[in-house]
Amino acid sequence: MSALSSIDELLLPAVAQSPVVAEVSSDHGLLEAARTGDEAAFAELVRRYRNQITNYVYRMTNDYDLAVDLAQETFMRVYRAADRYQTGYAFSTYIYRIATNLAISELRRRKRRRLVSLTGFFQDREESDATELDPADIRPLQDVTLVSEERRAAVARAIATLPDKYRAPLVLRDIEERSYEEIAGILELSEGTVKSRISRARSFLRDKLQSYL
Amino acid sequence: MLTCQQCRTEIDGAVRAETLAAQAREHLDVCAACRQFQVERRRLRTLIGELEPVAAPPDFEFRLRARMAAHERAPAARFVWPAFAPRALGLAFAACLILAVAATLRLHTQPPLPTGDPGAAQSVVGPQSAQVKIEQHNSEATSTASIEPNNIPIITPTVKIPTSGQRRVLSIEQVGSLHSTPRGVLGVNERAESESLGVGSAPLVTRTVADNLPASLSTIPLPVPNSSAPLKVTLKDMQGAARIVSVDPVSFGARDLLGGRARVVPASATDSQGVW
Repeated sequence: MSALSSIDELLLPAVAQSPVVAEVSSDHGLLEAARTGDEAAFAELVRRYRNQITNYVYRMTNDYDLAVDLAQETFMRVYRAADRYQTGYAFSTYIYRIATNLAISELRRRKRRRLVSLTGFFQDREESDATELDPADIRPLQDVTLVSEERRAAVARAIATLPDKYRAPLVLRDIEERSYEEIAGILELSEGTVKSRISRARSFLRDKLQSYL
Repeated sequence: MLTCQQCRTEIDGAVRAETLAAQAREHLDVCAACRQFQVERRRLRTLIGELEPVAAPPDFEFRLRARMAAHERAPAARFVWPAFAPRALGLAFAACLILAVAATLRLHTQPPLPTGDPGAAQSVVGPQSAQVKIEQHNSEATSTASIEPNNIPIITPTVKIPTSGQRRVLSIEQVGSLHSTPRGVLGVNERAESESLGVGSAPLVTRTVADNLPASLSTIPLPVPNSSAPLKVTLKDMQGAARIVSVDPVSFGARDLLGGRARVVPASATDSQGVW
């Protein structure tokens, strides 16, 4: 693959696509084309998966900026490792596995660096991840929109506080709607283990969101 | 009929209630707990389904390209400092603290140096100067060599030197290595072996005494590289007659060795066996 040489090349071809992209529609074909230096093919791959990967990482981390950063890192790794990519399994499995590993690594790194903050008691609830110590406010609110927003935020926080090994399969199954087989491929686990972890994750969530059920 | 556990596994695996197996539905008809479980799972799925999907920002591709371009330009020039976990830093700090406390305790528990013998304290210091006093008695043709490193008590072994020679050479030798260039070295005459210790000999430091040695006391400063190591002093005249003075090292607890127990060994042709 050719290296980028100027800032002018940073703008993706929005309309005009190469003939290769027009002909090849599968992910494998696009990656093959990208491997031979077709920038438009790689751009098409990015367009296909940018929102999925960003959403997935966001549900894993509950941090949008971090999610965008990790999604970009995911595509960079795909680009750099395109020569070593093997078509033994679906490209979506491949890219989700990279994103999962990046997200879990970042979460573990953050967990190691987490310190007790003296100002944590005064922070906004949106900035805090202490869902267990933050019971839901069940008083009726006037604005339905506010209620639903608060409920969604509580669900997102509850998911973000799940242990890593339960969070990833739950997000892949209930949010990304991936099949058990594909989840097993992404997480490199057996299907039985995946089902068991998803069931356990839902039980955790039920306990955390008892007031909303 | 399925058990409750099997039924709940079916409920978790089914995408919708309609896709449940017939056996699971039969179980649900008779099991209120599993029906409650199914309701909770359905509500939970509804809650999760309310989460709105998040999209990538509009400049996602632009930023990605910029990032890739930056990476292509400088692929190997990055150095990332290792991220030490706070726990590892804490352990390192604790280890340093323990070492510091242990060193402090060791310093405080060592026996104090004798105040009346500053030479013992100096024995651990590096190169020092010493003085060799030669007393020549014309009548008995006797010379006395003394080693006096700064404040170390004088050791006065007696060496008989033939008076025929007008020119004398004093050599001082230490077993071990020299850490600095001794002062006043005029030449290296010979090397003696200290085979009994199994240690190679150190360079021989030589000083030539004035031709006309006065009959009275003469003081000749000589460098002593390390007073804590064994010491040999060789006195020669120009005719080849030689005497070797052996001085025990000065070290902790060695004050008694300085009390006149320095040995005097006459030099001979068989001195290669060593005198220590």
